[in-house]
Amino acid sequence: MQAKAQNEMTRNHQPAPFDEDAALMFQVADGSEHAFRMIVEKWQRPLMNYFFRSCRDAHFSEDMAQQTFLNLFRAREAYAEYLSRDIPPEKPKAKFSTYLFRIARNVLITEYRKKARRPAEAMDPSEMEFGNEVSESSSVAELEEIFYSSVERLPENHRTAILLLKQQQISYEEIAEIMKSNVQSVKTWIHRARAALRQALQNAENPEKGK
Amino acid sequence: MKNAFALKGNSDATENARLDAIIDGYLEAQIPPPSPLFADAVMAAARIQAQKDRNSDSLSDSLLSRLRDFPAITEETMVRLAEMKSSIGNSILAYSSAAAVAACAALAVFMGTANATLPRGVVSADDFAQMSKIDEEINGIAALVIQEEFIDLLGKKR
Repeated sequence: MQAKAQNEMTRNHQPAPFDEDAALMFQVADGSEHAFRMIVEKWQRPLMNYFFRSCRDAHFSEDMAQQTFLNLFRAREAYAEYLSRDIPPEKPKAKFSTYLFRIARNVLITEYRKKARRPAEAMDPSEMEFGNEVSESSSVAELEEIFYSSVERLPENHRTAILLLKQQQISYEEIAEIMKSNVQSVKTWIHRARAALRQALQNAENPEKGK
Repeated sequence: MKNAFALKGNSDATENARLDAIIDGYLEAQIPPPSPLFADAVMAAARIQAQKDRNSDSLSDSLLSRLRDFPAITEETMVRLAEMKSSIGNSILAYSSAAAVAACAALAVFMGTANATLPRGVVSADDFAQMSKIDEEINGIAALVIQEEFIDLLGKKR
Protein backbone atom coordinates (compact mmCIF):
# COMPACT_ATOMS: atom_id res chain seq x y z
CA MET A 1 0.00 0.00 0.00
CA GLN A 2 2.79 2.32 1.02
CA ALA A 3 4.81 1.38 -2.09
CA LYS A 4 1.77 2.03 -4.28
CA ALA A 5 1.27 5.44 -2.71
CA GLN A 6 4.94 6.19 -3.26
CA ASN A 7 4.66 5.18 -6.92
CA GLU A 8 1.66 7.46 -7.35
CA MET A 9 3.59 10.28 -5.74
CA THR A 10 6.62 9.70 -7.99
CA ARG A 11 4.40 9.65 -11.05
CA ASN A 12 2.72 12.90 -10.03
CA HIS A 13 6.10 14.55 -9.78
CA GLN A 14 7.16 13.42 -13.23
CA PRO A 15 6.80 15.91 -16.08
CA ALA A 16 3.90 15.45 -18.47
CA PRO A 17 4.73 12.49 -20.69
CA PHE A 18 5.62 13.29 -24.27
CA ASP A 19 2.99 11.07 -25.82
CA GLU A 20 0.48 8.35 -24.99
CA ASP A 21 3.06 5.58 -25.41
CA ALA A 22 5.54 7.40 -23.20
CA ALA A 23 2.84 7.53 -20.52
CA LEU A 24 2.39 3.78 -20.88
CA MET A 25 6.15 3.31 -20.53
CA PHE A 26 6.00 5.08 -17.14
CA GLN A 27 3.46 2.48 -16.08
CA VAL A 28 5.63 -0.33 -17.46
CA ALA A 29 8.53 1.00 -15.39
CA ASP A 30 6.17 0.91 -12.38
CA GLY A 31 5.56 -2.79 -13.08
CA SER A 32 2.34 -2.71 -15.12
CA GLU A 33 2.07 -5.76 -17.38
CA HIS A 34 -1.15 -4.45 -18.86
CA ALA A 35 0.58 -1.27 -20.08
CA PHE A 36 3.31 -3.30 -21.75
CA ARG A 37 0.76 -5.51 -23.47
CA MET A 38 -0.97 -2.39 -24.82
CA ILE A 39 2.33 -1.22 -26.29
CA VAL A 40 3.02 -4.65 -27.81
CA GLU A 41 -0.44 -4.86 -29.34
CA LYS A 42 -0.22 -1.37 -30.78
CA TRP A 43 3.27 -1.61 -32.24
CA GLN A 44 3.58 -5.27 -33.26
CA ARG A 45 2.25 -4.70 -36.74
CA PRO A 46 4.33 -1.62 -37.64
CA LEU A 47 7.41 -3.46 -36.40
CA MET A 48 6.55 -6.61 -38.32
CA ASN A 49 6.03 -4.51 -41.47
CA TYR A 50 9.41 -2.89 -41.04
CA PHE A 51 11.22 -6.18 -40.43
CA PHE A 52 9.36 -8.15 -43.07
CA ARG A 53 10.14 -5.63 -45.80
CA SER A 54 13.77 -5.80 -44.75
CA CYS A 55 14.20 -9.58 -44.79
CA ARG A 56 11.03 -11.12 -46.32
CA ASP A 57 10.99 -13.89 -43.76
CA ALA A 58 7.92 -13.97 -41.50
CA HIS A 59 9.50 -16.08 -38.75
CA PHE A 60 12.70 -14.07 -38.69
CA SER A 61 10.60 -10.88 -38.60
CA GLU A 62 8.63 -12.19 -35.60
CA ASP A 63 11.85 -13.09 -33.82
CA MET A 64 13.28 -9.64 -34.42
CA ALA A 65 10.04 -7.92 -33.36
CA GLN A 66 10.04 -9.99 -30.15
CA GLN A 67 13.68 -9.09 -29.51
CA THR A 68 12.85 -5.41 -30.03
CA PHE A 69 10.04 -5.55 -27.46
CA LEU A 70 12.27 -7.40 -25.03
CA ASN A 71 15.03 -4.79 -25.42
CA LEU A 72 12.41 -2.09 -24.88
CA PHE A 73 11.23 -3.85 -21.73
CA ARG A 74 14.80 -4.12 -20.44
CA ALA A 75 15.23 -0.39 -21.01
CA ARG A 76 11.93 0.53 -19.30
CA GLU A 77 13.49 2.16 -16.27
CA ALA A 78 16.18 3.95 -18.25
CA TYR A 79 13.53 5.28 -20.64
CA ALA A 80 11.29 6.48 -17.80
CA GLU A 81 14.30 8.16 -16.22
CA TYR A 82 15.15 9.82 -19.57
CA LEU A 83 11.60 11.16 -19.81
CA SER A 84 11.75 12.53 -16.27
CA ARG A 85 15.06 14.29 -16.89
CA ASP A 86 15.16 18.06 -17.31
CA ILE A 87 16.12 18.76 -20.91
CA PRO A 88 16.42 22.24 -22.44
CA PRO A 89 13.33 23.22 -24.46
CA GLU A 90 15.41 23.78 -27.61
CA LYS A 91 16.26 20.08 -27.57
CA PRO A 92 12.91 18.33 -27.10
CA LYS A 93 12.70 14.74 -25.97
CA ALA A 94 12.48 12.02 -28.57
CA LYS A 95 9.09 10.53 -29.33
CA PHE A 96 8.38 6.96 -28.30
CA SER A 97 8.35 5.86 -31.95
CA THR A 98 11.86 7.28 -32.39
CA TYR A 99 13.06 5.26 -29.41
CA LEU A 100 11.30 2.10 -30.57
CA PHE A 101 12.53 2.22 -34.15
CA ARG A 102 16.06 2.98 -33.02
CA ILE A 103 15.95 -0.25 -31.00
CA ALA A 104 14.38 -2.05 -33.97
CA ARG A 105 17.09 -0.88 -36.35
CA ASN A 106 19.80 -1.97 -33.93
CA VAL A 107 18.17 -5.39 -33.66
CA LEU A 108 17.99 -5.66 -37.44
CA ILE A 109 21.65 -4.72 -37.92
CA THR A 110 22.78 -7.06 -35.12
CA GLU A 111 20.75 -9.97 -36.47
CA TYR A 112 22.01 -9.41 -39.99
CA ARG A 113 25.56 -9.40 -38.76
CA LYS A 114 24.93 -12.58 -36.79
CA LYS A 115 23.44 -14.32 -39.75
CA ALA A 116 26.18 -12.94 -41.98
CA ARG A 117 23.70 -12.91 -44.77
CA ARG A 118 25.18 -9.70 -45.98
CA PRO A 119 27.34 -7.11 -44.24
CA ALA A 120 25.23 -4.04 -43.45
CA GLU A 121 25.44 -1.27 -46.05
CA ALA A 122 27.84 -3.26 -48.21
CA MET A 123 25.65 -3.89 -51.21
CA ASP A 124 25.83 -1.45 -54.09
CA PRO A 125 22.40 -1.16 -55.76
CA SER A 126 24.09 -1.08 -59.16
CA GLU A 127 25.22 -4.66 -58.54
CA MET A 128 21.65 -5.89 -58.59
CA GLU A 129 20.75 -8.10 -61.52
CA PHE A 130 17.21 -8.70 -62.59
CA GLY A 131 17.33 -9.31 -66.33
CA ASN A 132 17.93 -13.03 -66.13
CA GLU A 133 15.20 -13.65 -63.62
CA VAL A 134 12.42 -11.87 -65.46
CA SER A 135 10.36 -13.00 -68.38
CA GLU A 136 9.26 -10.42 -70.94
CA SER A 137 5.71 -10.25 -69.70
CA SER A 138 6.12 -9.98 -65.95
CA SER A 139 2.92 -10.68 -64.13
CA VAL A 140 1.87 -8.48 -61.24
CA ALA A 141 3.01 -11.15 -58.77
CA GLU A 142 6.42 -11.35 -60.42
CA LEU A 143 6.73 -7.58 -60.41
CA GLU A 144 5.85 -7.54 -56.73
CA GLU A 145 8.41 -10.26 -56.04
CA ILE A 146 11.10 -8.36 -57.92
CA PHE A 147 10.19 -5.13 -56.17
CA TYR A 148 10.40 -6.55 -52.64
CA SER A 149 13.55 -8.43 -53.46
CA SER A 150 15.12 -5.14 -54.60
CA VAL A 151 13.94 -3.46 -51.39
CA GLU A 152 15.67 -6.21 -49.45
CA ARG A 153 18.87 -5.72 -51.46
CA LEU A 154 19.06 -1.99 -50.85
CA PRO A 155 21.86 -0.86 -48.53
CA GLU A 156 20.54 -1.01 -44.98
CA ASN A 157 20.48 2.76 -44.44
CA HIS A 158 18.72 3.45 -47.77
CA ARG A 159 16.12 0.77 -47.05
CA THR A 160 15.47 1.81 -43.47
CA ALA A 161 15.13 5.47 -44.45
CA ILE A 162 12.58 4.83 -47.23
CA LEU A 163 10.62 2.29 -45.15
CA LEU A 164 10.36 4.65 -42.19
CA LEU A 165 9.22 7.47 -44.47
CA LYS A 166 6.69 5.66 -46.64
CA GLN A 167 5.63 2.68 -44.53
CA GLN A 168 5.71 4.21 -41.04
CA GLN A 169 4.95 7.81 -42.15
CA ILE A 170 7.76 9.15 -39.96
CA SER A 171 9.12 12.66 -40.61
CA TYR A 172 12.60 13.30 -42.03
CA GLU A 173 13.68 14.86 -38.73
CA GLU A 174 12.57 11.83 -36.74
CA ILE A 175 14.20 9.44 -39.21
CA ALA A 176 17.45 11.38 -38.83
CA GLU A 177 17.17 10.96 -35.07
CA ILE A 178 16.41 7.24 -35.32
CA MET A 179 19.36 6.70 -37.65
CA LYS A 180 21.67 9.04 -35.71
CA SER A 181 22.25 11.14 -38.81
CA ASN A 182 21.04 14.43 -40.32
CA VAL A 183 18.07 15.34 -42.49
CA GLN A 184 20.22 15.97 -45.58
CA SER A 185 21.74 12.49 -45.46
CA VAL A 186 18.31 10.95 -44.94
CA LYS A 187 16.99 12.77 -48.02
CA THR A 188 19.98 11.56 -50.03
CA TRP A 189 19.45 7.95 -48.94
CA ILE A 190 15.76 8.10 -49.80
CA HIS A 191 16.54 9.65 -53.18
CA ARG A 192 19.04 6.87 -53.93
CA ALA A 193 16.68 4.18 -52.71
CA ARG A 194 13.96 5.53 -54.95
CA ALA A 195 16.29 5.71 -57.95
CA ALA A 196 17.38 2.09 -57.41
CA LEU A 197 13.77 0.93 -57.05
CA ARG A 198 12.69 2.82 -60.17
CA GLN A 199 15.53 1.18 -62.07
CA ALA A 200 14.54 -2.25 -60.75
CA LEU A 201 10.91 -1.72 -61.81
CA GLN A 202 11.95 -0.48 -65.25
CA ASN A 203 14.21 -3.50 -65.74
CA ALA A 204 11.43 -5.80 -64.64
CA GLU A 205 8.92 -4.24 -67.01
CA ASN A 206 11.33 -4.08 -69.89
CA PRO A 207 14.22 -6.52 -69.42
CA GLU A 208 15.83 -5.79 -72.82
CA LYS A 209 16.12 -2.07 -72.05
CA GLY A 210 17.69 -2.80 -68.69
CA LYS A 211 20.54 -4.83 -70.18
CA MET B 1 16.63 21.14 -80.03
CA LYS B 2 15.58 22.97 -76.87
CA ASN B 3 12.03 21.71 -77.34
CA ALA B 4 13.32 18.16 -77.74
CA PHE B 5 15.11 18.38 -74.39
CA ALA B 6 12.00 19.83 -72.75
CA LEU B 7 9.89 17.04 -74.21
CA LYS B 8 12.36 14.41 -72.98
CA GLY B 9 12.37 16.03 -69.52
CA ASN B 10 8.58 15.95 -69.37
CA SER B 11 8.44 12.35 -70.43
CA ASP B 12 11.07 11.37 -67.81
CA ALA B 13 9.12 13.20 -65.12
CA THR B 14 5.91 11.43 -66.11
CA GLU B 15 7.66 8.05 -66.12
CA ASN B 16 9.22 8.75 -62.71
CA ALA B 17 5.85 9.79 -61.31
CA ARG B 18 4.31 6.54 -62.60
CA LEU B 19 7.10 4.44 -61.06
CA ASP B 20 6.96 6.41 -57.80
CA ALA B 21 3.26 5.67 -57.50
CA ILE B 22 3.99 1.93 -57.86
CA ILE B 23 6.85 2.17 -55.34
CA ASP B 24 4.71 4.02 -52.79
CA GLY B 25 1.86 1.56 -53.25
CA TYR B 26 4.13 -1.42 -52.58
CA LEU B 27 5.93 0.21 -49.65
CA GLU B 28 2.70 1.26 -47.95
CA ALA B 29 1.09 -2.18 -48.38
CA GLN B 30 0.50 -3.90 -45.03
CA ILE B 31 1.63 -7.43 -44.43
CA PRO B 32 -0.72 -9.90 -42.69
CA PRO B 33 -0.82 -9.47 -38.89
CA PRO B 34 1.54 -11.54 -36.73
CA SER B 35 0.25 -14.76 -35.22
CA PRO B 36 -2.32 -14.32 -32.42
CA LEU B 37 0.13 -15.86 -29.96
CA PHE B 38 2.80 -13.28 -30.71
CA ALA B 39 1.80 -10.86 -27.93
CA ASP B 40 1.54 -13.75 -25.45
CA ALA B 41 5.05 -14.91 -26.38
CA VAL B 42 6.42 -11.39 -25.87
CA MET B 43 4.64 -11.09 -22.51
CA ALA B 44 6.03 -14.45 -21.38
CA ALA B 45 9.56 -13.34 -22.31
CA ALA B 46 9.02 -10.05 -20.48
CA ARG B 47 7.84 -11.91 -17.35
CA ILE B 48 11.03 -14.01 -17.37
CA GLN B 49 13.07 -10.84 -17.78
CA ALA B 50 11.22 -9.16 -14.89
CA GLN B 51 11.95 -12.18 -12.69
CA LYS B 52 15.66 -12.03 -13.65
CA ASP B 53 15.67 -8.32 -12.78
CA ARG B 54 14.14 -9.06 -9.38
CA ASN B 55 16.77 -11.75 -8.73
CA SER B 56 19.53 -9.36 -9.75
CA ASP B 57 18.10 -6.74 -7.42
CA SER B 58 18.03 -9.09 -4.46
CA LEU B 59 21.59 -10.26 -5.19
CA SER B 60 22.90 -6.71 -5.37
CA ASP B 61 20.93 -5.74 -2.25
CA SER B 62 22.46 -8.70 -0.44
CA LEU B 63 25.95 -7.64 -1.58
CA LEU B 64 25.26 -4.12 -0.40
CA SER B 65 24.05 -5.26 2.99
CA ARG B 66 27.20 -7.36 3.44
CA LEU B 67 29.36 -4.36 2.65
CA ARG B 68 27.82 -2.61 5.64
CA ASP B 69 29.71 -5.04 7.89
CA PHE B 70 32.99 -3.36 6.98
CA PRO B 71 33.85 -0.33 9.08
CA ALA B 72 35.93 1.09 6.19
CA ILE B 73 32.82 1.39 4.01
CA THR B 74 31.40 4.80 4.72
CA GLU B 75 27.81 5.89 4.35
CA GLU B 76 28.92 8.01 1.40
CA THR B 77 30.25 4.92 -0.45
CA MET B 78 27.00 3.08 0.24
CA VAL B 79 25.00 5.98 -1.18
CA ARG B 80 27.21 6.05 -4.29
CA LEU B 81 26.82 2.33 -4.81
CA ALA B 82 23.06 2.61 -4.38
CA GLU B 83 23.02 5.39 -7.00
CA MET B 84 25.09 3.27 -9.38
CA LYS B 85 22.59 0.46 -9.03
CA SER B 86 19.92 2.45 -10.84
CA SER B 87 22.22 4.12 -13.35
CA ILE B 88 23.69 0.89 -14.69
CA GLY B 89 20.26 -0.63 -15.04
CA ASN B 90 20.01 -4.31 -14.34
CA SER B 91 23.50 -5.46 -15.20
CA ILE B 92 24.30 -7.37 -12.06
CA LEU B 93 27.72 -8.27 -13.41
CA ALA B 94 28.84 -4.66 -13.77
CA TYR B 95 27.26 -3.78 -10.48
CA SER B 96 28.78 -6.75 -8.70
CA SER B 97 32.22 -5.93 -10.04
CA ALA B 98 31.90 -2.38 -8.71
CA ALA B 99 30.72 -3.70 -5.36
CA ALA B 100 33.57 -6.24 -5.39
CA VAL B 101 36.14 -3.50 -6.02
CA ALA B 102 34.68 -1.52 -3.13
CA ALA B 103 34.73 -4.63 -0.94
CA CYS B 104 38.36 -5.41 -1.89
CA ALA B 105 39.38 -1.87 -1.02
CA ALA B 106 37.50 -2.05 2.26
CA LEU B 107 39.01 -5.43 3.11
CA ALA B 108 42.53 -4.17 2.36
CA VAL B 109 42.03 -1.08 4.53
CA PHE B 110 40.46 -3.11 7.31
CA MET B 111 43.21 -5.75 7.29
CA GLY B 112 45.87 -3.05 7.10
CA THR B 113 44.34 -1.23 10.03
CA ALA B 114 44.01 -4.46 11.99
CA ASN B 115 47.63 -5.50 11.33
CA ALA B 116 49.07 -2.11 12.09
CA THR B 117 47.20 -1.25 15.23
CA LEU B 118 46.07 -4.45 16.85
CA PRO B 119 48.17 -7.17 18.47
CA ARG B 120 48.08 -10.65 16.89
CA GLY B 121 45.01 -12.65 17.76
CA VAL B 122 42.64 -9.69 18.19
CA VAL B 123 40.76 -10.66 14.99
CA SER B 124 38.53 -13.44 16.20
CA ALA B 125 38.23 -16.81 14.44
CA ASP B 126 34.64 -15.98 13.51
CA ASP B 127 35.63 -12.64 11.99
CA PHE B 128 38.46 -14.30 10.11
CA ALA B 129 36.15 -17.02 8.77
CA GLN B 130 33.67 -14.39 7.64
CA MET B 131 36.41 -12.38 5.94
CA SER B 132 37.68 -15.50 4.18
CA LYS B 133 34.18 -16.30 2.95
CA ILE B 134 33.73 -12.81 1.60
CA ASP B 135 37.15 -13.00 -0.03
CA GLU B 136 36.11 -16.23 -1.79
CA GLU B 137 32.92 -14.59 -3.02
CA ILE B 138 34.90 -11.64 -4.33
CA ASN B 139 37.22 -14.01 -6.16
CA GLY B 140 34.18 -15.75 -7.65
CA ILE B 141 32.79 -12.46 -8.89
CA ALA B 142 36.19 -11.43 -10.25
CA ALA B 143 36.35 -14.70 -12.21
CA LEU B 144 32.95 -13.96 -13.70
CA VAL B 145 34.01 -10.45 -14.68
CA ILE B 146 37.19 -11.77 -16.32
CA GLN B 147 35.17 -14.41 -18.15
CA GLU B 148 32.74 -11.78 -19.42
CA GLU B 149 35.62 -9.54 -20.58
CA PHE B 150 37.14 -12.52 -22.36
CA ILE B 151 33.90 -13.35 -24.17
CA ASP B 152 33.54 -9.69 -25.18
CA LEU B 153 37.07 -9.68 -26.52
CA LEU B 154 36.43 -12.82 -28.55
CA GLY B 155 33.24 -11.25 -29.90
CA LYS B 156 35.11 -8.13 -31.01
CA LYS B 157 37.84 -10.13 -32.73
CA ARG B 158 35.30 -12.08 -34.78
